[in-house]
Amino acid sequence: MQNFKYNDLMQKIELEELSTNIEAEAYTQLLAIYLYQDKIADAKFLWKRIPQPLKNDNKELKRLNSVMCTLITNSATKFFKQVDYPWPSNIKQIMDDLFERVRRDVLALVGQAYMSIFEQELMELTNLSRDELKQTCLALDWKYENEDQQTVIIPKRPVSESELTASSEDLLLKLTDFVSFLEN
Amino acid sequence: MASALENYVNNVRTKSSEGNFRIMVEQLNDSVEVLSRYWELLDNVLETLDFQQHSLGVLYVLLVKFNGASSPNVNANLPQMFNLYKEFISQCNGEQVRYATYTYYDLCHMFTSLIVEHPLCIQGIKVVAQAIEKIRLCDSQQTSIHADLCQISLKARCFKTALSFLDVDITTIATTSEVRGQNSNDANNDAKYFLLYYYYGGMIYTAVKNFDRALYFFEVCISTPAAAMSHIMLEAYKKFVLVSLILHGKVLPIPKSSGPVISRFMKPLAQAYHDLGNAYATSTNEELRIVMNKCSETFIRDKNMGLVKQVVTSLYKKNIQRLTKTFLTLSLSDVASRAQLNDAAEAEKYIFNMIKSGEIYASINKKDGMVVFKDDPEKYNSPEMFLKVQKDMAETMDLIRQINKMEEEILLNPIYVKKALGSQEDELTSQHAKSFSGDPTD
Repeated sequence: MQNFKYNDLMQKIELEELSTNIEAEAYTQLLAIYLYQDKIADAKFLWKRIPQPLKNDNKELKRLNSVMCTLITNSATKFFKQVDYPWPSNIKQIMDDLFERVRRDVLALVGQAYMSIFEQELMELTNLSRDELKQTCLALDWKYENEDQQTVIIPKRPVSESELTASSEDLLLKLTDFVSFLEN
Repeated sequence: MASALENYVNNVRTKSSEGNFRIMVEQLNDSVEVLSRYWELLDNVLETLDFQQHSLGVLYVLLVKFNGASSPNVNANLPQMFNLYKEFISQCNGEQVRYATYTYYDLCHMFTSLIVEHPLCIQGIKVVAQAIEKIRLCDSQQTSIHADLCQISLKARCFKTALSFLDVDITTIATTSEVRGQNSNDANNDAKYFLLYYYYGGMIYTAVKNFDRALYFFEVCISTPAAAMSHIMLEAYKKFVLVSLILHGKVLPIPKSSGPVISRFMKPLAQAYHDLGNAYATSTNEELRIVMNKCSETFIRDKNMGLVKQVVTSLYKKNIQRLTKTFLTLSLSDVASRAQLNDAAEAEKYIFNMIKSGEIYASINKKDGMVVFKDDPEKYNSPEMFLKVQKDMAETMDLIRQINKMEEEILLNPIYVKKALGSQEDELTSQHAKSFSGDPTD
C-alpha cells in the first residue's frame, strides 16, 4: 500500500515525541505524514498538542493547519488553494505526494458519486486546467457532452479490480476449519 | 537521627538477600511513617540501595517521597522525580514488587496525579505503559494503572500507546482488595479505577471517532454492578446517550444488566441529555437546536458541547439517509428542503461527503440536478468480503474458545462447586417437601 510510504519516519518521530521534546521541524514532518496518510484524527490531536510558542513562530505549521482544516471539511477546492505554498525541503516530497493523493481520491470519488458533472465544477475540484482535465478524462474514458453552453462530463464508474489472493486449496482448508469448529 | 534510616537500609539489604519478601513487606508497611519523618534525606537512602536487587525497599522510599511531594508546601523537583520513577520502572524486579502490588499501584497513581498537569505529561505515557507491562500477568489483564495511562493520554492528546492497550479485550482484573483486605477503602478504589478505565477509554475512542467501541466502553461503565450511583457512571451515561445518538440515531436503553439503582437515578440526573434525545426523535433540526441552546450551559459545564454539536450534524445525515429509504430519485433542492438544509449546493455537499464515507449509496446527476439513490452494491461475492467474513469468524471462534475456557475455570472453582451443590441440595429437599404436601391422596 502506498499509504505506508512514510511509516518508518513516522514511527521514528512518534517514538521521539514520547521520550524527549522535539523540534518544530519534526512536528511539521509528522503532521504532513498524517495528512498524507489520511489520518485526520491523529493530525488533529497532534496539532492540539504542539506547544503554543512553536505554533506562533512557525509559518509552515500554521499553513499545514489550514490545509488540515480544508481536509476536515472535505473541500477539495479550498485544499488546492491552501496546499499551494513553497514548502521547505524536509516536507516538500510529502506535500507533493499529498497533493497527488488528494487529486486521485477526488477523481475516484467523483467517478463514484456523479452520473454527470459540469466541466467547470470538476476543474475546480481537481484544480486542473481545461486541457489537463481533458487528458485525464480521456485516460479514464470519461465522456464529454454539450448541454446549452455548459460542457457536461459523464464519469464512468471505476471498476474495482478484484484479484483472488488465496488459492482454492487454501480456501477449502479454511472452510474445513470452520465446519469442523461448528460441528464440535 | 539517621539511625532509623540506617536501620531501614540494613533491614532491606539483609531481607532482600535472604529472599524473605513476604515478611519484608509487612515490616516495610510499618516503616512508612518513619520514612516520611526524614523526607529530606530520602535521596541519600536511594543512593545506598540498588533498584534491581532491593526493588521493594526502593518502592517504599519512592512511595513516601511521592506522597510528600504531593503536599502543597513542599517544593518538589519534578523532572528529578520523573527520572527517578522512570529509572525505577525500567529496572525494578517484577517478581519482587508483586509482593506489594497495591503499593506499586499507589506509586503509579501518585506519579500520574503529579505529572498530569505538567508539560512532561506526554513523556510519561511510555513510562506508565512500561509500568503496566511489568506488573500484569498477561496481556488481557486489567490493572488499576490502565486508568492512569488513559488519563495521561487524554491530557497529552496522544492516543497511540493507549489504544494498543484498549484494543485488547479484558479477561481478568487484578484487584488489590484481597491483599489488603482489612481496609475497605481499597475495595472502593478498585472499583473507581475500573470505572475510570472504561470512562477514559470511551473518551479516547470517541476522540478518534471509533464510536462503536466507545459506546461499548461507556456501556460497560454504566452496567457495572453497583449498590450506589457513582459520579463516573453518571458522566459515562451522559456520553453514552450522546454517542448512541450519533451512532444509532436514538438513545439506546440502559442495558438490563445494570443495577436497579442505576437505571432509576440515571435518567433524572441527565435530564438535559434526554431532552436532546427526544428532540432528536422528532427529526426536526429546529427543535434540536432549541434544546441545544436551552441547555447549552449544562453541556458546556459537562464539557460535552463538542459532542452535542456532532449530534446536531448527524441529524442532517440521518434525515438524508431516511430519504434513501423512501425515494429512488429526488432533485437536489427537494433533498435540501426535506432535510432542512439551506440550499441545493449544501445538500450536494452533504451527499457527496456521505457517499465518500459510505453512509449512503447514490449518484448525483448534475445535468438534471437529480440524485439517484441506490441499494448497497455489496454482492458478498468479492474476495475482500470473503476475507472480512473469514476474519470475523476467526474472531468469533476465538471468543467462543475464551468463554469455554472461562466457564471451565468457574466449574472447577471450589467455592462455586460448593455453592452450586449446596443450592442443588436445597432444591432437592424443597421439591421433596412440596410433592408430599401437594399429594392428593393425603
